[in-house]
Amino acid sequence: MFCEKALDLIRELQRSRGASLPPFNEDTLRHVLEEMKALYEQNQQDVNDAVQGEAGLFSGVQIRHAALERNKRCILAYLQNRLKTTRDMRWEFGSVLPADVKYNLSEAEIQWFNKYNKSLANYMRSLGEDGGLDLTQDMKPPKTLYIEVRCKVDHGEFETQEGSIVLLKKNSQHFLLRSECEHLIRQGILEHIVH
Amino acid sequence: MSSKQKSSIVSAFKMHGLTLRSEASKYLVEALSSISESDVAECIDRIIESIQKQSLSSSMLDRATVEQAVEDCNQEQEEDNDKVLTVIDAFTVPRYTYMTERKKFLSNKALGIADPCIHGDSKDKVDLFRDRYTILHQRTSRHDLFTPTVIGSRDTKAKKFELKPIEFLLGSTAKLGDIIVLGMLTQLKEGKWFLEDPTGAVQLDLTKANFHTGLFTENSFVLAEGWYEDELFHINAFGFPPPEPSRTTRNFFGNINFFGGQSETSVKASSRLRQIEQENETAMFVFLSDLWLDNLKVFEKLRTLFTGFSESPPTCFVFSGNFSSTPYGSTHIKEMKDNFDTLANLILEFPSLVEHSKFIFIPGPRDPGPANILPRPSLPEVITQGFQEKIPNSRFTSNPCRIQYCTQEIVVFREDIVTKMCRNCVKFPDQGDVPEHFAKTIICQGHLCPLPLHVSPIYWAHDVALRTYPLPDVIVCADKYDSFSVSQVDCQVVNPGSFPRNDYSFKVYYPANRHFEESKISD
Amino acid sequence: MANSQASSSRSGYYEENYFSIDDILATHERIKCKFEVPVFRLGFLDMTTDNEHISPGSKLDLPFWLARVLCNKRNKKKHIADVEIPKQYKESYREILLADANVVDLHKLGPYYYTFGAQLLKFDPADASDIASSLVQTFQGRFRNIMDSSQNAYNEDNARLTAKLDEMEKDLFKAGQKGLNDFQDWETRRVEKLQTSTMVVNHKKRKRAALIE
Repeated sequence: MFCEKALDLIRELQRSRGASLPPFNEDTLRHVLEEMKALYEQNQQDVNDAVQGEAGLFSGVQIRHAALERNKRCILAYLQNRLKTTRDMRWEFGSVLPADVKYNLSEAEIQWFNKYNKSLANYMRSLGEDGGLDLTQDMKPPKTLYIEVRCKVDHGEFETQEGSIVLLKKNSQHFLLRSECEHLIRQGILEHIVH
Repeated sequence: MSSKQKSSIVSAFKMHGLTLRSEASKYLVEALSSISESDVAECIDRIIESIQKQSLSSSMLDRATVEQAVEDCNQEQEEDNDKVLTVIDAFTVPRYTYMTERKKFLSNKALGIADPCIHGDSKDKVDLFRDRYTILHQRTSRHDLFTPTVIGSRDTKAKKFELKPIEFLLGSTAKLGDIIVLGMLTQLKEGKWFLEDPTGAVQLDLTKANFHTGLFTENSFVLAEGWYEDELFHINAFGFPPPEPSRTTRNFFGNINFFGGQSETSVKASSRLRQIEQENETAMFVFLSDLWLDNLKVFEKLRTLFTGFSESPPTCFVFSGNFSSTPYGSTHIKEMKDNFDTLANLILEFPSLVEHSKFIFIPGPRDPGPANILPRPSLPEVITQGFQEKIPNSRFTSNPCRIQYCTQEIVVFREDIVTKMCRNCVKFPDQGDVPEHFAKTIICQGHLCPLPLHVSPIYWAHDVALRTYPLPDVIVCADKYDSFSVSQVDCQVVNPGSFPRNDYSFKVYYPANRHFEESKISD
Repeated sequence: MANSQASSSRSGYYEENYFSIDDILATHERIKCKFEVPVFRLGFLDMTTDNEHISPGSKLDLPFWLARVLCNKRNKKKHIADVEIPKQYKESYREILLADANVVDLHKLGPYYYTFGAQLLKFDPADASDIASSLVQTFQGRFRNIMDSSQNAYNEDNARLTAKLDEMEKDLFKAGQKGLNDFQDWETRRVEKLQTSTMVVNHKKRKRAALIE
């Protein structure tokens, strides 16, 4: 049947929902494109034959055209949904993706991610008065300026805005400015302690 | 002042989702202190951009990363023209590993594979053949012949094949007909041929085998077609894995710079370099092999050559060894040093060449240096130092070496390989030109030297320097064999021939129109 | 933010959305078609024969998106095949659903029972209004149960509860669960606690799983 390969791409996306992306499936994508090329050429052929006077070919053309449209939809949906996840990753992982996540992206997707990152940064810098407004911060309404955190991994030295240096060592506890450590919590380096 | 600047730097990085470690921010404040306030913002942007080009592992930036980025920014301003012509030593070529599950090439650095050493361990030897196999296998399985038919295509009758691993044969007890296997030809037992791939080895029956064009040497990779019965693979036909134009390779793998040089991405993608290449119609490369500096006649001819070219100096002279006609024993080094001095004096007579041309020297198999193992490092400094002082625009490099000119990739290899390959053939071809066969072999194998290690030893961990995948634009195989030039799948394989042995002939390459010209200095 | 985006990728479920994964999967459900006119050169679509062409009268299981193009009752010229409404939407099944919708395994009847059913109406079958009202009634009958269970299963394994649900119902169930969990978090003041991003958590989990292997 037509479009089976294209549907494989969609099923792949469905399976990976909520998680990071599976490797960019270039092979199948190319296969679908090949199929589309074959469909197109066949249709061209049939149309030419019909112009020559052969009758009854149009039902076949109609079927192939539907398959072409369907293939196109599947591919576009594949790319678009992947881009959406790529965009979400900027908010979830931060601007630097873990290496093994990054390897699963295609070259173009990495470029897109970088461009998105840049646009976002430029937008955030254009907001407000002084140096911009970080939208990735305060995803939940803050209650206190300082929060207590515990280190989950060894992360090395960390310099606070006041200039004092904190050594983030595994299992050590600190009292830090919320705005400074929020992204570290989101990246799973620190844990927020609530009493 | 400084604290204000610091906070503006930190916040700029923060907007990009990056955090600076204390030592890094200190360094940046220092580095930017000399820049006027109005330019700072722009500078920070450039630095951030450059940082994002590096492959980061964490959003916490340490000092080294930032330093690197600042350096890159500074360099960008200075070295724009440096990228036009680069000579890449065989020991510094970039290393990539093909990841079968991701269908991608990843740099060894990113994979955490240690840098190679000259005397590798057993793993390096295994990887040598395994890597050659995986590269050829991914290339072959992508070829039209082996991709499954597309549903609904008109020519469903076109024959399609399926590549089988050797495992598949070994596991079968019944007779299997019409099988195609990609594997390496070996002699596991004296006088008996085997086909080997990562899954196993199978004995071959070659009595009825047809050979397609190419020199089928031991340890070359072949596509074997035939039938399997009673633990013997009866071969109907042998062929090489089909070659792939470099354009196709790049379509699949993007702008990775496999070739080497300073450019981060493949030079093929640079429109600026392409423009320089097109505009510079007079650019020339002179390839000359067996420059016997101890031979007076050679010097005489060289003088004629330089006189001829002094009017319009070529971009580059590529001289390959051997640099003496016979070995001189214990005085060899001294002789060569003197001869290079004489050569330097000769070149100095032509100031236009000294100023405009680059001189590249590639050692030959009998030049002084370590044993005859490939890749061979450049000539020792003892010999070359005096020359380089006189002619600063010269470069002594390894054999083989890579030259990148604008968007073109040129591999130069000095080895008497054609005869060696003919001698190690499973069956010497009945018809066709030897150069045709040879060029096809090198292009299909994706390797400059597809010979057993005991015939032509290779530093295991440095095998990658001999690989030609993706295919370069030009492969210059300087061989004592008669000169030839063959062009296949957008790749030219050229032999300038031995200068003194072949009536003082050499090759001139015009990159603007990708044309080779055979030249000769007659008496 | 991230959460709203994650759920937005599932919106468009109820209307046709060009990029919606669910919609693409739902329109891939198979449906029996009977060809009225010959179709030349596409005989290979019919696996049961080796003919070069599809002859009139042959019956094929085709995906919905293709059947939709083939069946065109208004324009006789473009009408190529007749479709047969799948049995799970027919009279006998409708009666079962009417009797007690709650015990039926809708997942088995088609993971996209409602969406696919709604799409089928486009063929304009004779019993279209019956199918439509059956879909609505089934949903009404089952909704109460879904909402109840999603609001009351706190910290439980809910595989048993969702096994019989169609994909849309599963989404509803998830939405209910999320509401419940969010409310509980708010009540116990856990909302204040900053959490690690879900993607990061999943990524770490997967890495650990890979290590154990």
